[in-house]
Amino acid sequence: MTIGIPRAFLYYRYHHLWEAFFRALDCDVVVSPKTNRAIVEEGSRLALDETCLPLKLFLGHVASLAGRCDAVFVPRLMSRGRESEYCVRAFGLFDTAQSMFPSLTILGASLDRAGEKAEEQLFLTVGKALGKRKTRSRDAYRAGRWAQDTHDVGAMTAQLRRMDEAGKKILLAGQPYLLHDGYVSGAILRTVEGLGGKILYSDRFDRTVCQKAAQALTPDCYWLLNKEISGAVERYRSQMDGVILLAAFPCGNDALMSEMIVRRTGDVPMIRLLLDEQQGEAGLQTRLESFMDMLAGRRVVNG
Amino acid sequence: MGKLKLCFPRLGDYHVAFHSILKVIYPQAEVVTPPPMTKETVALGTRNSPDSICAPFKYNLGNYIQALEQGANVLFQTGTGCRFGYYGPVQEQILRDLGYDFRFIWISRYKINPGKIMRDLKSLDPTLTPGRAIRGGLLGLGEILLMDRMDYYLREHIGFEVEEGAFERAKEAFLTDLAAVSNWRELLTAARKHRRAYRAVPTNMPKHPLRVGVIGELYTLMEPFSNFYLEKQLARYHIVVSRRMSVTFLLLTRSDRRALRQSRGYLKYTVGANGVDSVAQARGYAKRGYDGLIHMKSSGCTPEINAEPMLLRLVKDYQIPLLRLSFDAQNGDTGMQTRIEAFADMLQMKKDDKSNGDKTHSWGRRGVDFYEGRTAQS
Repeated sequence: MTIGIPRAFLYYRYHHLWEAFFRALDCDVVVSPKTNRAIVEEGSRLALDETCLPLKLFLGHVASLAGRCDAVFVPRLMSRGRESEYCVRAFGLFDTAQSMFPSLTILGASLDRAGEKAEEQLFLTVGKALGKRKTRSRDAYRAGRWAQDTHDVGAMTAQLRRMDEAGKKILLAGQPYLLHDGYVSGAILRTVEGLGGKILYSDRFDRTVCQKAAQALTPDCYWLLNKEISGAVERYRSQMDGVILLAAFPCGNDALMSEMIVRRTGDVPMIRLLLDEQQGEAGLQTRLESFMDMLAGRRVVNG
Repeated sequence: MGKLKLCFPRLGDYHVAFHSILKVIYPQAEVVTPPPMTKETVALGTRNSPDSICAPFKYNLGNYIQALEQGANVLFQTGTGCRFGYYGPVQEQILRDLGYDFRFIWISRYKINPGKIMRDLKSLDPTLTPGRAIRGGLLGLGEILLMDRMDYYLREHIGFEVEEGAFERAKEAFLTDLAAVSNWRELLTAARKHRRAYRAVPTNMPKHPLRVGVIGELYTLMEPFSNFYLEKQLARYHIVVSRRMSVTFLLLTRSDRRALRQSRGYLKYTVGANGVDSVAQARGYAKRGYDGLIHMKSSGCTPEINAEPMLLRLVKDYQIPLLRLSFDAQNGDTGMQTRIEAFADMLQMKKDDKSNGDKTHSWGRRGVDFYEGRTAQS
């Protein structure tokens, strides 16, 4: 049995868990290739009008898995309990994939409650659909959770260590599928690091700390990932030289949340970048260069 | 802060009911209904809104600014469903940054329970008793139920009135009377009177008129200014318009479980806000033999975009024409008119063909071509 996993959306947050789970069940795992021009074009072709960039990428990635696997894994992630919801787009991913790709088998289950048990239930359902015994699926889930936690903690400690290194610290704040997709954010990374900046990711800080801190900046926000983003900005901006806020075009959550963040934080240099698939690298570079220049000038003025 | 001046965003004709609710709950306060929407409202809202936010946010914000200019100092907002749930804090922040002084009563998704609503309402008037709050709520609910029933009748018949404008006059008279209602007895009297008046309007409905079902996102459906008075335009082509979306539907009749059952085969899970309702209603109309469907939303509405692949599959399966309309705050209405005219013509031709027994070519195909959807062939 070969399971395909599209390298898109919440893959960037949970892929260690997903991959380890299927490997522990003796399935072969095929992850779609890193985002490239062909995938972007296929995704844009498939997408209906007004579709956001992440969904276009998702469609491209699913399409690239056709014929290479027996089933494609698309969990339906809705929420992790009260005030911890995922984006509305994620609610519909499973059904969207099923409607857009009638020839593919889509494998998935729903997560709409809080707690580890709810997440475990999702994977038990998936395991059952694959004909695995309950105990086996549970062990596989635990192995996956372990792999994910280990990776997350490792990434956080590594980032904390980087905080003490020399260089201009730039907080790159945004959804994980924008931060870690090389096609989307690669140009930003290259430009900033080429100019001597040091990128720190908003999703590589302690998430509980960030969620608590978000209460101060964006109270009553009920989107889990956006809460972590604004929390990271709130908690760590005083230690940063600058903040880059990423948003996908057109993303409703990001539009509301980055408006709040910008309006409520005046004490740190901040630039908002709206990303879409027709992004030219030159325009981005110019803006980032002037942003970095401004940071350099500010340091001199402030002594 | 001196005298309380309460205000809320506009939504269709519901301001009449919102006005009554607040009037009963806060008899001492003044209720400021935002002025009717104009281009000015939209411009004010758009200028002060984030870039890629959906249109209702801009309309609400425009309403608030105009009401604040008229002296309002307490703004009400709710928040459920999708991103509407976070309109409140952002709108409050934007208005504060504009320098207005006001109180913002935000009844958010996690505060929708009697105790918390009561606490919020009491913060304006400590003498408020639960009894008065319930009385206000029930009177408003009664008005909303009545308005929705009257509107449903109106939408089905307005295209066939003998004397042009008769229904609109009847509706105006109804709303004027409704605005003066202050208790249930008056409400029931008004209901009897105007139901009779509506039925007395002469119509000449043919035996088998064209019937169209309207589905989609709630604000765009219920606020005629935001959809360029689509229902009025459809009436001009003598079409029976059915629309299940209303405040009654949102508050009382909708159920995710039922909608999911009705859209089985197309949706396994809910897709946010009213996406699943759109699919369920579309299927209901298709099964009942309606001639066409119109799907409306504000531009960028995620739940409705989530529902679109399923809708496109459904119209193919049931061979029912679908017109998809997406509204931003800055559309011109000429384009709309052209599209509706073409759609109405197409429906009429399709129907004529069917009744002539012409089986040589399939109009169904032509109808389905009306949308520009695609499915992956992989």
